[in-house]
Amino acid sequence: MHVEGAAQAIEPMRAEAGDIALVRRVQQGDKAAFDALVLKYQHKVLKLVQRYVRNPAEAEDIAQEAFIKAYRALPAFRGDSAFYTWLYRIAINTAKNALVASRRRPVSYDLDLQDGTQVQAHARLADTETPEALALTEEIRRTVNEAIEALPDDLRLAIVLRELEGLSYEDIARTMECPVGTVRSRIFRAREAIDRSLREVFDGGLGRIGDLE
Amino acid sequence: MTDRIKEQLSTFLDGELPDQETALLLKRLERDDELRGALSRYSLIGAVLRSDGDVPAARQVAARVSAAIAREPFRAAAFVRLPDRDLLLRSVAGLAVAAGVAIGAVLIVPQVGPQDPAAPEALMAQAVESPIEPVSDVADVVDEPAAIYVTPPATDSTGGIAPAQLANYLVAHYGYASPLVRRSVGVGLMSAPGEPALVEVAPREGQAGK
Repeated sequence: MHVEGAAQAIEPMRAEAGDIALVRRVQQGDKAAFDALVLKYQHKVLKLVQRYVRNPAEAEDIAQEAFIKAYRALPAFRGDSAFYTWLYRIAINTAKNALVASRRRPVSYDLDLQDGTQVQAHARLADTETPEALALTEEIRRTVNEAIEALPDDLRLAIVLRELEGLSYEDIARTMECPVGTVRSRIFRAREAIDRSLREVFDGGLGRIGDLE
Repeated sequence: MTDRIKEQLSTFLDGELPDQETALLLKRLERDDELRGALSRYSLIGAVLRSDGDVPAARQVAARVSAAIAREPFRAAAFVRLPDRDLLLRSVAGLAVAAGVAIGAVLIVPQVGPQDPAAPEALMAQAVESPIEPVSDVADVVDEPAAIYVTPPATDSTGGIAPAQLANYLVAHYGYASPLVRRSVGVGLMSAPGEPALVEVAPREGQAGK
């Protein structure tokens, strides 16, 4: 089964309702609920930010800033739109502002400014992903896709219906003609199997498992 | 971390975990780094599956955000809906008018004091206290904006300053008063129920033009 190119995946409605419930918890002072939202969306936000800022370290800084801004603005969030849609706008604006600020920033003076080639090389380096980051990203993509191909049919179908089609557990249960509890278990087992492969990637030298939080 | 907990985590990620279990899981997430790592990777898997391009793995974002927000104090008042800009402008305008009236009262009181020693305190208390109260409660400002406009009790014929006395004072010091004070006091005088406001007006010679 080919899962690449499935960009038009529907964001699950049920997950949105779960997000709103988490937002309400944050609004009542539960910071752990915000942690969960960050853990859930940090990769998507980072990917979004990297459209504007290619340097991984700088992109992480901007993603962090976007989340903190979101936390501070959360009291005003009324749930008229999905949480991620709202977060998306904050992240885009933060990235754009950072881009404008970086263009205004003077060139670092630890370089020999007489050497024009050196200045240009530094600017290029700051604007591009590091080879290590590129390799890790590519490895993650390859590993996830290979792992999902290797799944038993029932597990693969369950997670595809969930992640790509955005169906609720109840709808998946109807589609697969099995109890909701079985759907829940299949989706978990699929994730666990893929995660096992993913952990090997991080343990294998491209990244450390403890780093990926 | 048991498979049961991880299955809960997977269900939570999909928004299918019941509220009670969610509350317990969030507590566990706070103190279990391994569980946080699993949540991050599960969401990364979903992001990679849904994306047509590469998804970068965020490494330090969650930990740094968590540390940053842990330092931020929770302020319950911050979660009250903020007043809109018009409301703020109205509040500021109301305060400015009230402050003007309070200054007017300060100017007026020493002149009328000897005739009624109790009046200045009452006048000051009303002029100074009234504008502060509504600001402490946003809802009150929304519902009752007029409460922050204070007019000196010039029309109170029983315990306050007699309108005629105030009128005398006003005419005598007209040149010193600001237009705002003149209008505030003037309105008070003219609105006295059943009492002719300017009956006893007798400007002192030589002062009216000052």
